[in-house]
Amino acid sequence: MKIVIVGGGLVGTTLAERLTRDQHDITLVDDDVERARKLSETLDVHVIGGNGAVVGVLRRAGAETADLVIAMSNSDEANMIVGMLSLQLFDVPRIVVRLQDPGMKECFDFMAKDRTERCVYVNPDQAAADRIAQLLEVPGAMDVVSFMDGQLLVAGFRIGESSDLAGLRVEDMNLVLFAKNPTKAVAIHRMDDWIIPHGNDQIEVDDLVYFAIDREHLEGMLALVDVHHDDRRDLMIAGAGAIGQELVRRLGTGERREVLIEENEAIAKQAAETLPGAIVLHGRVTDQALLEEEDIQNVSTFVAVTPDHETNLVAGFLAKRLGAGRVVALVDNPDLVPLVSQIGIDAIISPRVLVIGLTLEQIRGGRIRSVAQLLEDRIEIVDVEASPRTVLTSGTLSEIKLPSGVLVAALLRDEKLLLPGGSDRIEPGDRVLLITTTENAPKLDDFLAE
Amino acid sequence: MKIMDILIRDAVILDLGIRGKRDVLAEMAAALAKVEPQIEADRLLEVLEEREALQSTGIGEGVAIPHGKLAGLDRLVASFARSREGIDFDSIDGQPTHHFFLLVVPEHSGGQYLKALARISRFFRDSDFRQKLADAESLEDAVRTIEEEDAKL
Repeated sequence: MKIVIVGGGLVGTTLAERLTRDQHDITLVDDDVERARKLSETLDVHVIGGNGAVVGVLRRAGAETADLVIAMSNSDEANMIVGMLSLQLFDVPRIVVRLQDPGMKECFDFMAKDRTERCVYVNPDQAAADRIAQLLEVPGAMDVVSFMDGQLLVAGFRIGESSDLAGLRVEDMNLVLFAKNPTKAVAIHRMDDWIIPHGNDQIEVDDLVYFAIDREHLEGMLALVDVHHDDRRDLMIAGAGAIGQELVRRLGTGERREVLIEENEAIAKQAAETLPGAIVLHGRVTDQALLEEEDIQNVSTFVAVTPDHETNLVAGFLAKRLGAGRVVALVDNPDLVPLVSQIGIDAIISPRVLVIGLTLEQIRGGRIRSVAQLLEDRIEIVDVEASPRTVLTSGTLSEIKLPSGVLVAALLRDEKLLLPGGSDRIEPGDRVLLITTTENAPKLDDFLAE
Repeated sequence: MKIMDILIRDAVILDLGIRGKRDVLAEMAAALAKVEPQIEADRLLEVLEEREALQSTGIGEGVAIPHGKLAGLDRLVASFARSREGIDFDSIDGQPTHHFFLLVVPEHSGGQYLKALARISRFFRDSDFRQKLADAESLEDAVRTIEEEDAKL
């Protein structure tokens, strides 16, 4: 596929790298000429220095013959112009536009006229709020994604030293623990490696193990991974911007203290007006005295979602030290990720990874309903409808010989969730959840081809 | 959770002799029913067979962990049985099974149930533990071996 990406920031470059690896033909456009020059040296893609919102630049990037244009710059307005030109002038069949301000969507729809079905909007704030809400639904988890209309959760738990799971083989769990309740270990993050486990792989202390869990059996799973009930209820959010406000709207119960702390006075004021049930404070999120004054020790969940991700880490660190229960922080920079567990933060959310997942979903297309990525962007979970014309439905799971590093995590058949073994077969029409490392994702694509 | 807290010492069988899968389950159920008034042997056997029908609990390396939920029981109970000769238990690796660890739990005990199963499975992943149990000369030896492993983890 020929793809033009406008915006050479972290999201644009990660996408460019990733899609090149998947054998797509990529041109990256960035208006910072110096950065473009550096990118052309480090990336194995065609890079053009120039403003993507200029017709000549887009033409030079090959928009006329592109199958897809992705507008991922930091400016909504620039992305909108790139999208509009691609759509109306270059007649590009599909465009993905990053819009931070949900209000811009209306404007874009208006300009796209009868071509709105070709457009996909990706909103990083919305995606982050979605993922945080999913995460908070599962106590103790480091990462959570839900699939199949919410029936199936894929949740990652850290295996502690005293965990009864340490030392078990995946097969022991499947044969003994999970024979009667649909649960399955589907990925293991160990040191810097990601493992798609086979029966003989053993769980080790400090592993981050992802389980596919039937939502109805979540309670049993939590006991198994030693998650203890927290009686505290208060919610505290550092950062009252779009994500913070959305979280209060989703998680707010009105029955507990919901506190937002915001450094920007105007944003604090606006948040206070839109969220009458919550307490909005104007102050520094890293102000220890303020956190203490607001009873941080009674807080069961602390979420740091300011636009400054380093501040989020510091705020998260402070909150944890002052006694907050579960601490979640918005962190995009991959270099900061290794710090997270060291400073006691329980989970991080990366809008960059989320936006990449949402964009990939558009590229994979076909019967693929959704693509989600776990913590980093090295594991991919694909929710696909099984077509009778693919290899997927041609025999039992052991017979169809899935590519190595690919695992069938779950099936949804007639609204019933199944976690299949080698002797089971996928029926046409089943929804199939597959897990793979990103290196093996192209192999999976070939496998799913009709 | 400690396995020693739920192990019913008087239901441990050190030598099952050569028999079939059903006989093992029946003998273990009967031994447990004898000392546990809340357990009825026939009902327990039924529950265990139901679970085995789903998939054998023979996890390989000579180990099986038959288990089930029983209405009317108010706590978790476990017992152990050994066969020196080995029994065909349809285990995953096709090898004869020597060690049987039985776990019976009340109807509503999701988390505790899984934790106990995980712990027992974990014990048997240790080849020294399996060997020591195989070598145990007396009931005391066998129970002590389990006790030591329980204290270790």
